[in-house]
Formats: sequence, structure tokens, C-alpha cells
Amino acid sequence: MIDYKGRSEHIKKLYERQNTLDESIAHQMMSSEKIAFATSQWRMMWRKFIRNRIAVIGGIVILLFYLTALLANFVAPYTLQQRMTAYSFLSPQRVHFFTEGRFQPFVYGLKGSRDPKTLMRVYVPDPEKKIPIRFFLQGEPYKLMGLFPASIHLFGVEEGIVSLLGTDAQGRDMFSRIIIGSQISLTIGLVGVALSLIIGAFLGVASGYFGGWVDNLIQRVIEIIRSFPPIPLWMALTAALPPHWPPLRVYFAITIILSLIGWTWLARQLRGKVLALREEDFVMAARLAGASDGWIIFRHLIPATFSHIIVISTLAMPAMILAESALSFLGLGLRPPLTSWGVLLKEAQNIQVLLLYPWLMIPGSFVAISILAFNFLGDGLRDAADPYTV
Amino acid sequence: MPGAGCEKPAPGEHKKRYDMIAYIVKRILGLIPTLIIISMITFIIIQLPPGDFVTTAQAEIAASGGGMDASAVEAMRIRYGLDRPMPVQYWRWVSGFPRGDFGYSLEWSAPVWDIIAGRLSWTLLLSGLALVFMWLVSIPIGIYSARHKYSLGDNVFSFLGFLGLSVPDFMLSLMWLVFATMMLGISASGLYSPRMVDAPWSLAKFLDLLNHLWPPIVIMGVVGTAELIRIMRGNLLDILNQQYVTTARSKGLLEKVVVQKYAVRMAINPLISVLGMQIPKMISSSIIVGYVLSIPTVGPIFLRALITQDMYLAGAILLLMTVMLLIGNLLADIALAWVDPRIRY
Amino acid sequence: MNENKKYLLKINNLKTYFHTLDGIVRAVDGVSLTLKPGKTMGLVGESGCGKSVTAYSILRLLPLKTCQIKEGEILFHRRNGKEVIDLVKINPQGKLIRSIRGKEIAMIFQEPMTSLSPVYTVGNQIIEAILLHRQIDPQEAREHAVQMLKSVGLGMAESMIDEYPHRLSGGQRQRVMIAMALSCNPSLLIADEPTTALDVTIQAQIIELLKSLQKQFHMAVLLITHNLGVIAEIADEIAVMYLGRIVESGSLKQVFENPLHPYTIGLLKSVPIIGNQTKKRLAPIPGSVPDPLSVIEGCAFRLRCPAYKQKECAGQEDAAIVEVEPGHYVCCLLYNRDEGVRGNEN
Repeated sequence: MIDYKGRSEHIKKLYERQNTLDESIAHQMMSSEKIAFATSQWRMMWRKFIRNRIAVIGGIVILLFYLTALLANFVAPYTLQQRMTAYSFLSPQRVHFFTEGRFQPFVYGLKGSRDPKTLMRVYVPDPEKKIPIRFFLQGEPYKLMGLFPASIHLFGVEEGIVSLLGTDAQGRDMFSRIIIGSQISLTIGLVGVALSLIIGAFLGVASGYFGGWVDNLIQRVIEIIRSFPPIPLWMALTAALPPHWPPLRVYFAITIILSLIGWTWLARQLRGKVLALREEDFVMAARLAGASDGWIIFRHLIPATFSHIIVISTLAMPAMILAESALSFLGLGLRPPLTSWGVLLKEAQNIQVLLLYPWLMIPGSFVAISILAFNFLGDGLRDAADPYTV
Repeated sequence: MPGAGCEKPAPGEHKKRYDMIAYIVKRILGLIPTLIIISMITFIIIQLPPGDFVTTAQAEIAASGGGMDASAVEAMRIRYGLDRPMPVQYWRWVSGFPRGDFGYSLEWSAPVWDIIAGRLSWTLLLSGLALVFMWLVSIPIGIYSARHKYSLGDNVFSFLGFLGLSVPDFMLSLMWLVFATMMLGISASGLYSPRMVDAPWSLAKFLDLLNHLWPPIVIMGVVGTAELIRIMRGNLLDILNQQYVTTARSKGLLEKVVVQKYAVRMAINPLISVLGMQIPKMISSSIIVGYVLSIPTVGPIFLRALITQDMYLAGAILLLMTVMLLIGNLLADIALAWVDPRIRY
Repeated sequence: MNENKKYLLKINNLKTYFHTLDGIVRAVDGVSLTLKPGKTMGLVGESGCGKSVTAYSILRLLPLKTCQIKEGEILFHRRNGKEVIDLVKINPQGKLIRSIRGKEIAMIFQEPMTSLSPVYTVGNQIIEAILLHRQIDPQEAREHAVQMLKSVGLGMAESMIDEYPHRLSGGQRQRVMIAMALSCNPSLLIADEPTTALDVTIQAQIIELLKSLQKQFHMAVLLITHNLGVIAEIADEIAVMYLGRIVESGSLKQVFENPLHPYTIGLLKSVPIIGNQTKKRLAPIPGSVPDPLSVIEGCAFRLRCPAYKQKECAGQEDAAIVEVEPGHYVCCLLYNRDEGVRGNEN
């Protein structure tokens, strides 16, 4: 028979003797067990992001696109305006990768003729003529990133033509035009989102933090702007651009116009986040410690919303790219010589032309791919930004 | 549904109905200042391009080899009232609204309303049907995706959804045009096939019309559908973790009933708001899709009016599209208040 | 109710594990409990010790994809007197469990604010439960619902029945929950922290309500809480849980007068006693519940146990359950030895 009453009393005395837990003992004891590490918030987010393979793929695609856009003139075998009228309306060429067993890509030379019935240009590959594709070839000169003169291209051919995505009515290589056009399409998005963010972050945070009449005023302004359907509004605004303006000015005007509606979404998002954060205890604590409003906003609230800002910026990009493409497609927005994917698609609007030469629609798939990639990336970032839910 | 048949109207039910009407009236009245501001902004925007209608007309005449001397230009200006100061021009325009007079189109020489009424109704029709399409398609798919999370079906729908989100509507329209004409050999543009255009009204013609209407509706709806599916799925997943769902299950209800009656019913509320947010996109999209597929929406006329500075026409189109949007939002808000007993007004 | 049954619900060595991305969480790791008809069992422990999971396991309410009852049985005596079924073995989405839920075993939850759907009236939700398990017509069901609302102390039941939940206070909602749970006269009511989210005065009212309803409806109650005061008010028996296991169980008197397990002793000591505070220091149990993903060999409590820290117990082995006096069980190495407590002989 156990003297349980005695042991019970004894344990009570043990407690009375006990001081608070000696941390080193606890750590020694835990060493033989599995422990989940306390990780920093950023590391947790990264871990969660990496697990999402689709988001990672999206991120890689975006990175690739932007890298290519940066070095566009180098990657493209031809320049924007290079016309090879002998090869107009050429369909995408097939690249063969092996010559007699070795890795040496080449294309067949082409014999062009006109189909007597449809009057369509027809090209027949000449199996006798194998034109090798050379890398790091000297070609038409250009300015890399608009600054450094150079003339080496990533790949090209010494005679004939290598047109991976076909040519247009004037014999301009679509692949080159798409790559160089990506510079505008992708950067308008960046600049537009950056502008929207500056305005939207400022007004959204102010609106959420100060409340009262500031909030009311800003919200009314946002409401009024959002009452207009976006495309008609942009149409009206871009129609106001004088036609004689230089391309660069047009570019910036377009980004400003796009940002004029874009900031409202960002402002709303941030306002919501700030409203929630404002009630948190750490804000109260900072106020009690004597922090000024500015301090609280810049040192506490903005860092807390940082991950959210990254997410909504990423998610705002597709809308910008889409808007620019749509406007250029309609003929407002950018005009030649400025080239973007939207402008390229405008040239493909003629249905008769499209039926005969459908590869002219390919710029549209680039728009779709970049939007897809941004959405995957943005989604993955959004999931990762909340690493505490599964 | 157990329990539904034995409710008397709640003690506040009658009061609630009066409250609802008061709410609607209050909202409509609140729209008026907004509309006034919007009409002013619209007018300013339309006036932004340098010059005016007369300048454009002058340019066009010059382009075709003619010319106008200064006095003729002046006379034209006075005739169109373009010599008056801005606020006066604005007032002349706005004062006609209550009468249904939206001004006079300088290019078409006809009252604005006559020109756009028919086209606006096509815009309205297409946008409205696209919204209905979105609603009908996205809810079942969203429910399925949430309940069979990570299954093959869920992944397929997710992927299709992403595709739908990413391919721009003008691209889809082009692709459809090419596909339909090349592969299917059918007429894809306009409202009717060429042989039916002048034919008298009949069942065949009606079917032909439907055949031409469903592609633009689907194309317009695809983007919104993708978004709605994702939101429905996300909401439902959240709600399925809520306490009241567990409570319902603990009472012994069939899983199907738990999902339908408790989860889906709650998930639908935010969806009404999201649907409301699709309205501006639908209006925008109808312009682009209508443009590519030659459906007579206001797009091409709007474009032309902007370029020629046919200001009353352009202004009225922009204004009326905005009004459509505002009314759409109001309807969505009313629907939400009706459906969610927690909203007080 | 049939008093001849020795038990109403018997849990034998239940193990419920969660499969998470970071590993397996052994939420319930060998729990055995006996619930007697008409009696109240209090299940006590800190947050995260597995009490709620135990309760959810009984009614098979756990998510199927991540959760698995790995071992054990839950034997339930059905109302018809003859049947004893093992709730672990039946289909969690099948007809059998649904006929037991709400009708023979009912549950109320911790958060009254979110336990009722906001888009249906209170009456709708109660009557739904009634019509589900009884063959009566809607009008009768409605009257019965009004009756239930009255019996949980809600005045103006006829008008309240058509109200929406968001118009009621927390205490009122909890009463509605209780009314709903009791509407089909279950033989067991599981109450998962029913008072934790309520104000203290409302807490007292709800506890009184539960006590009187238990007598009136003659049902067993499994009360899950971390609040020892509530247990003291209402429980007949008590079981103390730590990290997925029962460390001590017995009648209320036995455990309160003679707590055996160091954890129980620590819990009771950490309750402040009115009048005593000026002289004695409050003695909390140092440390906190370890990470649920960690797998601890031997005694899980040793890191916080004074006997371990003062080197009176090595804590490396699993303890066996010992019945120290009739009905009073403890699972602790200190009670596995026959000699005196001092010394490290083992």
C-alpha cells in the first residue's frame, strides 16, 4: 500500500521549494528531442514560398522576361525597324538542331514565290541550303539599354533569315519586335505600379490612420474615380494626348494616366490593412511611449504592411500590362515608333490578314504568359505573407 | 429545409421592409451630388484635347484638299455654340438631362440620344448577361473546388481559371474570330450571319442572333468567372472551418445539408459584392469585345467622337456608362443588404 | 435513464493524431475515461493538452484529411438499452453517427459569438435540430423550441425565437446553444469550454443553468475547461490531462482533497485563495506546455516537475497507472515505487 497522502504532501513541499525554471536545464533536456525552431518571420515566409512550385515558376518566368527585356537588343537577332521585304509574311521557321550528329542549329534557305490562286506569299524550304545559326554574331548596331553602342547579337545568320516567330507585312522579324517591344510593355507596368504605389500608399495610409474628415475626403475621391468604367476613362484621357508629342513624353503620359485609376485600388487595400493594425496593441504602446504620428506611421505601420505592399504591387502589375495592351490595341495609347505588345497586336487586327497569317497574334500570348506568371507569383507571395495559416 | 416552414415574420420584419425602402431612397438621393460632380469631370475630360470640333473638321477638310477661311470657321463656331465660355457650354448640356436631351452630335447631326440609345442597350445587355453567366458558372465550380480541395478537378479548374484571368479579352476575341472562321467555318462577327442580316424576323434569325451573342458573353465573362471561382473557393474553405459549421454538423445534419445550408449560404454574401465589382470591367470589356467582334456597342462611336471632339456625344456616352456603373453598384448593395440580416441601415 | 449500466461512455486508450506539414501532432496519446450516466465529468488541463480533441473524437467531428484516430475505442451505450457501439469504428459521415449526434450525444462549444449561423433565425436553427431527430410536425416543433428557450432561462421566448443571433448577447447565445443541444434530450452533453468566452457573472449563471438542466433532463455531462473553479462547482468526477494523456482521475472530493500527480498539485496550488495572498506567494507551475510536435520519451511532465528538478525522480520511463484508492487513479513514476519517495534507487 502506497502512502499516497504522504507523497502528496511531499510533492507540495517540493513545489514550495522550487524556484522558476532554470533555462539551461531545460535546454539540456530538450536536446534529445525534436524541436521546431523558432524562425524569423522572413525565413518562414521564404520557406512557405519556395514550397509553392507554381509561384516559383512564375517568379522565374518574370525574371527571365525582365532580363531579356533589359538586354533586348542583344537577344534579338534583328532591330525593330529592320525590313527584309524579300521575306514578308514568312511563317515561323523551324530550327533544326543537329547537323550530321553534332550540335549545330540551322535553318533551311527559302525560295519565295506567290501562290497564283490566293496571291499569298509562299515559302518553300530548300533542303539543299542549310544556313547555320551563329552565336554572338555581328549584326545591325544598336544601343544596349539605350546607352551603350554595340552590334553583337545573341544569335543570327550570315545570309538568308532566321525568323523564329515569322515576319509581318514589311518583312520585320516578329521575334525581335516582340522582344524589343517587351521593354515597353513590361516597364510601363513597373513605372505605373510605382507611381500608383507612391500615391496610393501615402493616401491609403493617411486615410486609414487619421480617419475622420481626411478619411472621408479621400474615400469620396476614390469613389468618384472608381465610378468611371476604366477603359472608357482611359480612352478619353489618351485621346487628349497631342499627336505631335515625342514618344518618351507619350510613354510617361500613359503611365500617369494608368496610375490615375490604379492608385485607388492600392489605397483601398492599404487603408484596410492600416485600419486593422491601428487597433493593435503595439500601436497603443507606441503612443503611450510618446511616439508621434509620423513615427508610428513610418517606423511601425509601414514595415508591418511591407509584405502586403509587395503582394499587392505584384498583383497590380497584370492590370497595368493589360491596360496598356488594350489601349494600344485600340489605337490610343502608344503609337509607332514606340512598340509594345499592344501596338504589335494592333497591326494584327485585320481579320483577313489574320486568317492567312495567324502568327501575327503571338504577341498576345506573351501578354497572357506574363499576366499568368505575375498572378502565380503574386498568389504565392500572398500565401507566403501569411505563414501562420496552412 | 427543416425549420423554414414554421417561421412567422420576425418581430422586426415589417420595420425591416420600411427600413429597406428608406435605405434605397437615401442611396439614390446620395447619388445625385456624385452624379453632378461626375458630369462636371466628364465635361472637363472631354474638353481636354486641344482645339474643338471645328478644329478637327477644319483639319479633315484640309486633308482632303479643301480649306476654310477664318470667317467660315467663326460662323461654324457660333452655330455650334462653341464660342461660348466653358461653364455656359456645360450648362447648356446638363440642363437638357431631365428632359432626356443629352445634346446634339455635331458630326452626325442628330440628337445624341437617338444615336446611342440602341447601342447602349446592347452594352447593357451584353454586360448583364455576362454577369449572369459568371454567377451561374462560378458558384457550382467554386463549391466543387472547395469540397474537393487539391483533387484533380480542383487543379484543372484552378488552372483553367488562371488561364481565363490571363488571356486578355481582345486576344480571346481575336482567337475566337480566327478559330471560328478558319476551323468551324462559321460567321463570328456582327450580330447576324451575312445571309440573315436582311432577313425578316423569325425563329431561325433569333437562333442566329443567339449564336452570335454567346461568344462575346462567354469571352467577357471568362475573366470574372475565374476570379469568382477563386474567391468562392477561398471563402468556402474559410467558412468550412468556422464554428457554426461544426455546430451544424454536431446536430447530426447530412454533410450535404451542412455545406449547402450553412457554408454556401454564407459564402454567397461576399460574392455579391465581388459581382458588383465586376460591373465596371464588364462595361469596359463590352467595348473591346464589341469592337473586335463587331457587335454594335458604343465602342467605335465613342472612339470616333473622342477623336473628332464631338463633345456632347462623347460626354454623354462616358456619362451614361458611368451612370450604368453606379446603378449596378447600387443594385449590388441592395441585394447584399437584402440577403445579409446583419447589415443595418 | 437506465441506471443499471455501469457506464454510459467508455474511452479506452484513445490515440488521435494530426498529420501536419511539419510532422505528426499526437494530440491525444492514450486517453482512457469512463462517463457514468447522469454524472458530470470535468476534463481539466492547460490549452493545447488535447481536451477538445478528445471531445471532438467522440462525435467524430475532426477533419478527415488531416486527422486520424490511430488506436483505441469509444464504447457508447445507446438509449435503446441493448446496444453498445464503438464510435471509433463507425463511418464518420454515415447514418449511424448522424443519428447519434444531436439526439443522444450533443455538444456545445466555446465561442457563442460564432457558434450560430448569422443568416438564420434562432428558431430556424433549433427547430431544424428537433425536426431532424423527431417525427413531429413543424408547429409542434416550434412550440417545443419555445419551451426549450424558456427552460434555459430566456424570457420572451416567443419573440426571441424569431430573432437573428447577432441581436443577442453572448450569454443569451450560449443559452440558445444549450437549448438547441438539449432539444432532443440527449443522454450525454459535451460542453467544450462553455463559459470561457463569457463574463464572470454570466459564467456563474450558465453553470447554475447546466446544473439544474442536468438534474431535470437526467443526462451525463462531459465538461471541458481549464477553469478549476467551474469544475469545483459542477463536477462529480474529474480527470486531469497533460499533453494528450490523463495524469490523474477520480471523484472531485478525492482529487481536490488529495491531489497526487505533481501537475494536479501544481494546478491546485496556483489557484489563488482568498485571504491567503498576503502571506503566501502565488506558486505557478514554471515553464509552459512543450511544442506539440516534440516527442518526449518517458515522463512528459518532468521538465516542469519539482521532483525531477530536485533530483528525486529520473523521469526516463513511462509510468503505469496506479489505483491509489478506489476510483482514484494516477499515472506518475513517483507512485510506481513502493518505497519512500526520497532517493534515486530506481
